[in-house]
Amino acid sequence: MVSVDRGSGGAGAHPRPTVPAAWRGRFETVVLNPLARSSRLYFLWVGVLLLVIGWALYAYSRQLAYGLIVTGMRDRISWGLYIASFVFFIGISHAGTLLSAILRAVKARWQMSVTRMAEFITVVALMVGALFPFIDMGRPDRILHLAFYGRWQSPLLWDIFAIGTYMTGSILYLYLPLIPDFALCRDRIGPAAPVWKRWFFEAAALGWTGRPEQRRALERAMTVMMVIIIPVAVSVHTVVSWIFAMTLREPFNTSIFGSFFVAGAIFSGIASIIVLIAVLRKLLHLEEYITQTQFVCLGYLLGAFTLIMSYMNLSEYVTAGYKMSEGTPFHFQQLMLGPFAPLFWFYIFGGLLVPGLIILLPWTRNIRGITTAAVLVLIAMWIERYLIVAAGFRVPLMPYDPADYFPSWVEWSILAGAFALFALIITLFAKLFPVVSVWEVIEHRGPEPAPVTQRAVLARQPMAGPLPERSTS
Amino acid sequence: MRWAMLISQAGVRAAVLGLALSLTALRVAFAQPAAPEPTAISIGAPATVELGEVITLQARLVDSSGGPVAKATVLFTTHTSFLNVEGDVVVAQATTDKQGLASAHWQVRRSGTVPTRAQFPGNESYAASEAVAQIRVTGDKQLYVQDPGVQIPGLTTGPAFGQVPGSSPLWAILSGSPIGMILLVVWSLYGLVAVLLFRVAAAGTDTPAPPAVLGIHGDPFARPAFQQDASGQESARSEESGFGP
Repeated sequence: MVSVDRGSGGAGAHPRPTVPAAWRGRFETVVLNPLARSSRLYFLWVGVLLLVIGWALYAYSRQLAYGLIVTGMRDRISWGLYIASFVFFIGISHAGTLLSAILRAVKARWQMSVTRMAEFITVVALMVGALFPFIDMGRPDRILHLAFYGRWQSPLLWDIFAIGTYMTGSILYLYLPLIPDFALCRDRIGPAAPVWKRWFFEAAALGWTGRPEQRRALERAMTVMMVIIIPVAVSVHTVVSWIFAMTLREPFNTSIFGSFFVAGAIFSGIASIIVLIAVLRKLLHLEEYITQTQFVCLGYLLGAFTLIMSYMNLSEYVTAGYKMSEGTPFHFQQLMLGPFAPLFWFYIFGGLLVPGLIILLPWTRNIRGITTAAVLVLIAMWIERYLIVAAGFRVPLMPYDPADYFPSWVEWSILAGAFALFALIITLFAKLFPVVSVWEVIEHRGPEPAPVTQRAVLARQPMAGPLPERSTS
Repeated sequence: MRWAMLISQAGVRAAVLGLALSLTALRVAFAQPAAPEPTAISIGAPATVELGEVITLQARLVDSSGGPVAKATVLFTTHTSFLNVEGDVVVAQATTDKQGLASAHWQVRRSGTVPTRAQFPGNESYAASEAVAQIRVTGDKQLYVQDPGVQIPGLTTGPAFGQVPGSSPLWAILSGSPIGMILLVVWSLYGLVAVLLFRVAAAGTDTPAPPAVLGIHGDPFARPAFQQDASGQESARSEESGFGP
């Protein structure tokens, strides 16, 4: 098959590394292959996800029919699994935008091959996370009350604006670097693709031909987004934290919540990138292009944030424990010795200490070890969000017995459906968009010059000569 | 003899006197108190008031002969309920003057028909009494007005405005302006990006493009090199692709 290439060139005026044609051909083939072909495993996977989502929809229909009584939430603990998951998903959405924006800004070359997946996570996590406040409403038809009766003074309204603004920015920031890759798809896959796909690539490519004026406009747009998305991302999770911290309820009544949430968001975001690139690398055979370098560098970031999170936890608990204001003794008791103790200590040891050790120790600082650490972090950070919400609301406001909360099957089903929806949208994205930014890798990085060792990364040795055609991982 | 008779007579008199005194003391100790005098109280209150209005409650306490009872404490109560608890709540109290009149002020904070009592709980001299008046309260305005922050005349204090009683329109705009300005800046930048995207699209519809920057390097329809068959040859485009003729 021969297709006319209208010049699906990339943007940027950086000096290009030497890119062997064979490597380039293999690279484009591997990356575009998922867009051109689908296996039985893919359809089976989609089918399983749709089943889980269908079950979640059934559970939600029960909630709509009977109200929030079908959940474990009551008058005294009125927030639970839904809001914890909302905070979790908004948190991991910090993965792509913050990381890819900051690392692009400092021109870290190693992130070029993972930045697209990171941006996927951002957009999809925001889409899924933003559903949870609606799911949490017993009367979702009253959502318009926010527009009719909203008050500027309400953190909930700030949340709406922040998340809406961030989602728009993330979609733009995902789309901009995709334009040259859409042009590549238009030229390589379009002629033989179904009509809808051909139309989609044509429309999305915006007539990209790699002309200088197009490159300039795209570069300028990416620079603007790269700069603005960082403060927007920081503001989003700060505002999310303020729906807790702007109350007088212990343990939410603390000024550390903003920075704590942002740090936790980046922490869980890095972990989610690691897990996603590990999965896609295996499934889409990207071992040559996503090597140990990416995992080690992300692992170091994860390790750094392990220390930051440990420090923040220490600061929060030491200051609260020193003052022991009303409600704090009860909260400490339930968290560290009471019903939430197993979850809390798993978060501390499994989410902070063990991942930190895995990344610190040289013999565990490899792809498998770092991926394991990332999985532990993701589980622990979801638990941490759950502890903030459920344990926080359990602290009595008046001298009555504390209520108990346990999510019902409806809540668990909807949570499973949300994760399935997340995986489904990522799967569909991987079928529509190249999961690696082809033009950026070719223009700015080229092939891995040598198998990257940990010592090379630590010593910041300059990359050696071109790799042999197949690299080991 | 005479002296003995005198002494015995004195002793008998003393004994009789002592017995009489004892009996008197016993009578005093076990004597029943006098019954308090019955009283009557009347209440004066407006028949219809507006919600939130401060009204004057009056009561007149008289004894059984119609004479005023002074310096008596009169309680004004209403019946109310909170959650699952019901009872009478004291809304005001006053002391009667020489004419037996007691008055107090009370802001009515509940609409509907409010039964209001004037109660004299009674004391040693006077018996308890009470009277009831039904006050019809109309209106449904919000009585509690939030009063946060600094009081700036014309800004945070002023006539009621829409959903935020007590704030001026200017304050409603100013209080939202920091958020509004930030959103304006961010969305303006998004608008700039949209304009740049239009430029990308517009530049692509111009005269034919320069020679291809990237030549044809890969066929996405071919099996990737790692999927080569045993002969080491790349297989033809897969039937599984689902695309193509």
